Amino acid sequence: MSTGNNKTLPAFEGGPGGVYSARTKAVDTPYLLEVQHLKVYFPVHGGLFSRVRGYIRAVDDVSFAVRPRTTVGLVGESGSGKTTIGQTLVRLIRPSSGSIRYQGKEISKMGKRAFFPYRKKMQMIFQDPFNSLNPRMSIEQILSEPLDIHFSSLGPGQKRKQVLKLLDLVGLGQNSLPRYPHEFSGGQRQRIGIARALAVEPEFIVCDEPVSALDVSVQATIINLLQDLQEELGLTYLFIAHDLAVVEHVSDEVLVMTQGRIVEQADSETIYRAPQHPYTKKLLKAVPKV
Amino acid sequence: MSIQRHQSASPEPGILEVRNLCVDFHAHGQVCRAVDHISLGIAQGQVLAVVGESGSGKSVTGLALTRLLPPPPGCRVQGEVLYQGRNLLTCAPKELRKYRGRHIAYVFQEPGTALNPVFSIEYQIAEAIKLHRPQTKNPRREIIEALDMVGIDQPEKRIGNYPHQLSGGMQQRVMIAMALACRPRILVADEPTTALDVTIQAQIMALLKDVQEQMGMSILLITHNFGIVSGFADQVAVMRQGRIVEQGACARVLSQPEHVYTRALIECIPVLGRKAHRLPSIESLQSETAEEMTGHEHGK
Repeated sequence: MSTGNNKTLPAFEGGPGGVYSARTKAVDTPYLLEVQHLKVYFPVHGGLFSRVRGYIRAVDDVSFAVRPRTTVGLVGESGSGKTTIGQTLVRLIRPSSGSIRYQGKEISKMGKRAFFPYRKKMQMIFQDPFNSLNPRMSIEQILSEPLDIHFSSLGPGQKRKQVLKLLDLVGLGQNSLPRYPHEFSGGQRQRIGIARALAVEPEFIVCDEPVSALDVSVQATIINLLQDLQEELGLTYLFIAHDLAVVEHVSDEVLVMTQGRIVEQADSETIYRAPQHPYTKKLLKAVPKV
Repeated sequence: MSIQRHQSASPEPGILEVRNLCVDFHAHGQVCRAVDHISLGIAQGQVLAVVGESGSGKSVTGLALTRLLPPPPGCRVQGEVLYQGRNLLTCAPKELRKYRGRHIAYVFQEPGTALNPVFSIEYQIAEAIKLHRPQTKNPRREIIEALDMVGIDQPEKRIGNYPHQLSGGMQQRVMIAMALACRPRILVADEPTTALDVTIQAQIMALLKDVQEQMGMSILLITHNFGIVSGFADQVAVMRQGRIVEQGACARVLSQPEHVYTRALIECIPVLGRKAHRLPSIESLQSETAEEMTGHEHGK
């Protein structure tokens, strides 16, 4: 990603709608994740019998690819469709059309059962650490639930050991186990959210605005943590944020999104040095400068 | 404390003077000092930014100015808040009501929760005008003007909207319009852009600056982000664990921070084009217990 070239994805020379033969690249791809012509439309109901009146094009023909062990940043303002993309990748939302390939395998049209092993490989860290943890579950329950589902063969002792390992990874103490989410600060809660995502030993994590709800000082520690974990565990991130400075800091490559479309994609240096699209320039201008 | 008082002496007589403000919260038989002997001064037509992490006591300071904190025994406020020679902390409730809104107005942190969901924005802004400026002849026109001033498109149409029909940025604009409707002399803006996108943030800050210059208002800006302070504030006070650790002219504090903590707060903001491997963090400066306590206190 250090080529300094505006088109770092050779597979997509033509950009969205370009010539890309789906069959030739199906196996042996350098990418962990490939998204092509992804569209997510939400129906708008209205009138008598609430018929479908139209569609909201949340994601409109988006293509990109993610190399293993790298971070791709996705930046845009609220309503641009970036969270929808993240949720579609981990199949919290079904795409309307387009393809999502994970290690060369098409996953967007898989059945529930066939997709199950991929849930383990792809995890998500949610935006709001105040709403994404169940207030009625202790930290131990929150962290062992994914283990119950994906590692059901583990005994209680092993499970506990794994949970303790997770807490240690994200820098929380053993005394957190019996406590509940409300007893933690925002930064600590986001650590718990990260530990939960790591519980099933994923390869790919969608970080959906993991630091937007946090103070700048806490934001720095969480970003550092995510970067340390990436090195330690060889993770791949799709990092979603609205702050270009944050995205530029963590990403190898940046996608700029507005109104459901990717308007610019380049490595993070180029995005900063030579922004092409007027919207990218606007985003750059909006970054507060000290 | 003597050092702090010395530092807070502003060149001109302040429109609002805070002296030795102390706020204690009592809970479960324990006392937590959220604000610890702070002194601040805001000059006429100037912007003072109070910067600190969550739990540093900056919002509590803002709330204490007009006694918006819960009454004793849950919370005890000591010290002096002087406005036009009157101590707002001890004056009669009736007198205090005269100042609230009319002289000192608030823009609260989360517009989504601060606006009342069951009333239209016209009703909510009209409420403020009716209460503080009862002689106003045509409140509707004033509201439309206020909405226009904060940059809401087609204010005549938007006036009947309910908060849920507006985006976060628009809600924040309505909050600002509401605060400005009474032409206050001091505006307390408590994290006015924290819930918003950076692009909207830039718009709102520009709007506040615009209005402040137009009306010659003083602003107390409460924020955790040094990024929005530069180019906006005249004076800066940095708070940590209830105390002011550094105070001075904005340009000076930003370019030559004296306190380690101030430096850490400034450095932890990612800067475009300066890609360090790790962001400097201030975790090491913050004790675990302090973080836990703030977690309890603000329900965070």
